[in-house]
Amino acid sequence: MNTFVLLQLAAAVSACLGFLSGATKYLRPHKPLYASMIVLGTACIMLGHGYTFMRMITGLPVRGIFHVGCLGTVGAFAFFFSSNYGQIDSLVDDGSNSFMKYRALAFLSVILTAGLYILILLSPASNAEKFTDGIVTLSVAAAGYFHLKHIIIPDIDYGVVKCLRLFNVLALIYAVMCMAEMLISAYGRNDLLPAVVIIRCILSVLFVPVMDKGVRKWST
Amino acid sequence: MEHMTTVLFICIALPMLPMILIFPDKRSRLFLGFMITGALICHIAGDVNTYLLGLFDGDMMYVTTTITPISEELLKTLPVLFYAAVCSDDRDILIPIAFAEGIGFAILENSVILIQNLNSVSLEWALARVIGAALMHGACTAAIGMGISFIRKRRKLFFCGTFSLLIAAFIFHASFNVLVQSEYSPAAFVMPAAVYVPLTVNAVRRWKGTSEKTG
Repeated sequence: MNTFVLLQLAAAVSACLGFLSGATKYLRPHKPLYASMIVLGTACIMLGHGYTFMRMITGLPVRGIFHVGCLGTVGAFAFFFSSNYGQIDSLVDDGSNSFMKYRALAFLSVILTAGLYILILLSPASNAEKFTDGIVTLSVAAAGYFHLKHIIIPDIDYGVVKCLRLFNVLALIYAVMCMAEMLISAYGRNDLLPAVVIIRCILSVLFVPVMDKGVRKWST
Repeated sequence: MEHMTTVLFICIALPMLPMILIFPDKRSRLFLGFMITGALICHIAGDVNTYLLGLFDGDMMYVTTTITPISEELLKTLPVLFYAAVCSDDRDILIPIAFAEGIGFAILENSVILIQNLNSVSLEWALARVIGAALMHGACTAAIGMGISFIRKRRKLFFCGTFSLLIAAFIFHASFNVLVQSEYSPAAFVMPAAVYVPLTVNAVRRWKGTSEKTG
């Protein structure tokens, strides 16, 4: 097995550990839907890396084409986005103008993500890779907006978002690492890839326990 | 033989239609109706997949491991989505009908594959298809049904949740397709089973809990 195969395996196993630590507790009735979605997001990371690993060991190509492995990251961020936008956001943002500055600041993450994607577009990567990276970038930008917003927004009324700040910080770092991985691949700097994947592995193990700690704080 | 999928659909799914009229309760009729719908969707998916195969220059491996999981899951979503939008978004109905649709899909798919590989099929093959493909299709569609159940109650969650669950279903289905065509095919049958073991344990526990309460 070469380094890339091992890195995919490590990413899948670490996400699997994160998923299992939350699945037993949160994937059952009458548990906070927010937490269930974070656990399912981790499952998506596991499935995505697992799929890419399977493609690699079965000798199927993974570079320069579109394949559903990249959708693991998209699924994870879609779940993170759903949990923040669908469940939590209305608790801290009533849509009034007083929160406009926080929304504007959070929008910086979208601009930064778009800027990084422009660098990918300028790279020598294939069109299929640029297309795939574009899909991932969209999910990173959408989720990243809410992660940053929920880090900076004051949470006076309920105190829910305050408990989940550390999780949002981790998720934001994960988003940055995803963009970094795509940039590294696009420019062929494969020597940097292990460091980025290792950070992603650590984060995917930490997501669920950190979220769990936050959820327990707000529910007690 | 041409139109084999249509022949199989007529032979397997259509005889079930009169049963819908015979079943006494609405739920049973609904589940059977969705099983037949699943078979119909499988029939349609066959044509869609043939078209997609043409678009990708006949690259069977790429299409089956990347494109058809997406097209099949999207097609299976439509009847459940329609039912949720028009009739009922009750989760206790939606998840079982989605599961029934997935199983109906798998029944026709298994039959088509059986006819195509008549000389090489065995008892092990049949069991593996039941444990693997049937459960995989059922699990994927049931998961999407869970997201769709938010269609009226919580719009925000419906859109993002269904999209997220669809993606999870795409990858799960695609992973199964990769493994089943590789030398690691036994792992393909363990994968869906691994999803069902905790679900079954949970269901048995709940069932025991309910019977203890009533008993």
